Amino acid sequence: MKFSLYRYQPDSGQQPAMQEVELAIDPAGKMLLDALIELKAHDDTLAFRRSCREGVCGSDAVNVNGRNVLACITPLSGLKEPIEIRPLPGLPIIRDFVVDMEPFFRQYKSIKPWLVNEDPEPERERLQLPEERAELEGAYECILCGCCTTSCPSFWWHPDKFVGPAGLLQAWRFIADSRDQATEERLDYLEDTYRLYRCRGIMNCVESCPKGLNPTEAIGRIKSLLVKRKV
Amino acid sequence: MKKTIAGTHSGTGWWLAQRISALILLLAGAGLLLGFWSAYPFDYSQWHSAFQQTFVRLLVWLVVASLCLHAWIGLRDVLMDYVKPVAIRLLLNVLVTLTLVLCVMWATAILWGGNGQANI
Repeated sequence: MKFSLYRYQPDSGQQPAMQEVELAIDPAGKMLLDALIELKAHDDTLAFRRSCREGVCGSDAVNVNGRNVLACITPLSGLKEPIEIRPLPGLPIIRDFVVDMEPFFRQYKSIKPWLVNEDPEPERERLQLPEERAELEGAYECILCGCCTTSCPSFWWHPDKFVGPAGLLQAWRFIADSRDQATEERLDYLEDTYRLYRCRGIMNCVESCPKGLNPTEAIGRIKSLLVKRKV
Repeated sequence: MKKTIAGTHSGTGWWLAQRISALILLLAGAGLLLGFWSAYPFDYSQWHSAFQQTFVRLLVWLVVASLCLHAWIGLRDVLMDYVKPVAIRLLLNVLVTLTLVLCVMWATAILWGGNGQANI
């Protein structure tokens, strides 16, 4: 199979360039990550992140033929050749497919991704009704791979100011949580022309999410709350 | 100072205004187009008498004003995305605002100005 790989080795002093590689691999039943591991076996200077190899850890997100995917759950047979692999767009590149996720996690951190509850801690756990728990469906499953946020042009333009789809989905996850008591503060933080309202609803995030989540819908729900609070 | 400055605590109002102006454009614009379509072909006197009716003038004015408001919010977003130096962005924002305000004023003058009233 033919591959076109984005290569960047900062210590070599050379500019980034695409490298054409051919690999003898039978795509049947294999994922893209299998090919990457095979490629690395031939050239161990190739750098990429991976861990769980089953779409749970979210560390092997790459841009393949123009789409952000998790290499470990992308069937090799479904990809058009030459398979062009690049690092996630919009983040600083450390080496080959390894990007600096710091801007992504800085935005994630900004929405305070933890439960805020001032009540005294109960003996066992803070209970939820089944319907309260159901509110979190589609919001808690995010694995923070960065596929959505790095496919969002608003994040490319404003990585320092726009929270991005992943962060906003998580903001909704805590706003929607019946045990969280900081809804007002969370909405105050998001009520901003950059942090939330840079979202123009183009839904790249929905298309790229490997877990099938819908950040645009979550953003819409936050907007509804903001409107409800305002009018 | 190299800090990220954000947090205007506004945005919902503008977002709502953009949505509502879009709705007005869709409904009033479609209504006007349908009205003109059903009356087509019309001559000068029909055209003239149509604009003697207050509700036609109001509807046209509403469409122009909504269009300008919608365009203002949209262009402000475009400028925020692409023009980083604050001074240039402010200058362009002022130019856009002035142009659009003048457009609304001009539309008002056309709709209620002397020419339209001449034959009453």
